Amino acid sequence: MNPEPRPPADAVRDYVAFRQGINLDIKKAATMARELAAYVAATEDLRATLTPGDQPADFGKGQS
Amino acid sequence: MNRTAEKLLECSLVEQVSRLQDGEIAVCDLVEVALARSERLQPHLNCFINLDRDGALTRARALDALPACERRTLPLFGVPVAHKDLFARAGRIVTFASKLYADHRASETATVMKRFDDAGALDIGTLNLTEFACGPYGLNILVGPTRNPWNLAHVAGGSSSGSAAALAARLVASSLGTDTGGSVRGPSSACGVFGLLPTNGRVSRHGVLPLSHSLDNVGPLARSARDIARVLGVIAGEDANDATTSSKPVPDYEAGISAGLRELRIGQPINYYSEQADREIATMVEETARVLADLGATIVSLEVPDPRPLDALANILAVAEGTAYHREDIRRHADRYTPSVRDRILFGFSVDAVSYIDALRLRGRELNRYMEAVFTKVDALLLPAMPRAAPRREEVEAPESSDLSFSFGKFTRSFNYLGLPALAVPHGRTARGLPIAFQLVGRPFEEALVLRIAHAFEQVVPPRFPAVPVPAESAVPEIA
Repeated sequence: MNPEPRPPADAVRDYVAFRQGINLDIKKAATMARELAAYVAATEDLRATLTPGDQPADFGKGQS
Repeated sequence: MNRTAEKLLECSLVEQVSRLQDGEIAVCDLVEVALARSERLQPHLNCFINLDRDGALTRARALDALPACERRTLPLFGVPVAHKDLFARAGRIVTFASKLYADHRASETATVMKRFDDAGALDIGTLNLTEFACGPYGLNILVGPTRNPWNLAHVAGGSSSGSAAALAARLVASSLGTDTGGSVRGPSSACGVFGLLPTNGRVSRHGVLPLSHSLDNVGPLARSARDIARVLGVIAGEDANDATTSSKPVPDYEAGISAGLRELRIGQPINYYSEQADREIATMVEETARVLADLGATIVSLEVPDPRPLDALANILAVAEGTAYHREDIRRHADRYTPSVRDRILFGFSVDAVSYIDALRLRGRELNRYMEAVFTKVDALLLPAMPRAAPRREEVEAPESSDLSFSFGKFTRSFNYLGLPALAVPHGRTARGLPIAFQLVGRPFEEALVLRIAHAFEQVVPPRFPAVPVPAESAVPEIA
């Protein structure tokens, strides 16, 4: 696995415009990528505190 | 036109059921009025995708033929309902408001639809929505967006746009929507009706098109808290066809709804919400707190965990899972998607797996943290449902509207992430005449408590609904 996720703008452009064959407006892709980067950045502090004990829970049953 | 039936159509679901069970009026008469009004208003509101006149009348005749003793066992006997066109009914077209699925015929019936049928409800058609339930304004290129019954120049919220508009216009007595980030609570707020996000796992999703399996929930919309309680009692509970449903017993949500607010502690966040909301919304929440305090509740000002990272984590899950579902369709048919929906789905291609998995791993821990920080101190939370009233259509169709689109759900999405029940409750209108709402959030499986608070509130501040027929392009007078 690549330990450094690709910059979102590159990922959008590569994946969508080339692999998927969709003619995506690159300016729009860049805007979306910036938005996504902001979301990911907003989670960094919490993610930095994850421990091995934090596992995906069976959330479907209203875990509390 | 049957005047008694017309008047009954304006009433709550619970009252409609009671009078139909008593035989005061025939189901056929009520459904005729509901169909006629729907046909008259559809050109203005665009809230239906399909109206099923023949099917509704056939079902009405069968319900009218039931003996009185059997009618009384049916908690939704004879009431006209319609649901977001995301719920499958075997043999019927279910479009998801998509051009791709305009002729798609369902092969099975959603569990919640079966439960509505078994409770005696009368399904009159399918309701409009944002294409694939993906977005907060009801946009789609199949039939166009639903218009807000309070002002036709404004959207009705989304994604359950048709559900909220049909209720506000009193075309149906209740409607089911789905809520992944606010898609029940947003349109409820925009149109001035009640809308519930149940606890994750409380209601089956079998037969409902997914958007994000981690965050999706089926939720009822109605014109009173008691109506929501009645419907939730019908649809909640374990389903062998949906392994994610909880086996926890379903309480009688109506039983304690009038118990009042004495000894209840209701938290009002001092951080984030009031500063992020329009001034009129913040003022409305303050006024709500005063009413609840007058009713005997203790209002507790408290700091809640910052909702912004929770909102962001929810967005990561939602866009990644939504994109995974749509991967093949969007690769082959991107040109047949509504542009704003397509852009949201494309967005998910760039979510990396590590971010997605971290978002899943953090979920249980963040819920525990939230419970400790909030629900050890208070019984429920009071906050705005939406940061603003419904925008105008041209505002949300502008190419640069994606920021607005994501920000519209910033008060709702974190509760999908946490899996907590949350209810939108209408409270007044802005100076421009558009409805606004507050939100009550409870502990897991404590829907009954938030409904009790909402019920007490609406006894003092009853909801108002727009007068119909709807005049074009202007705010309309309201009726009690």
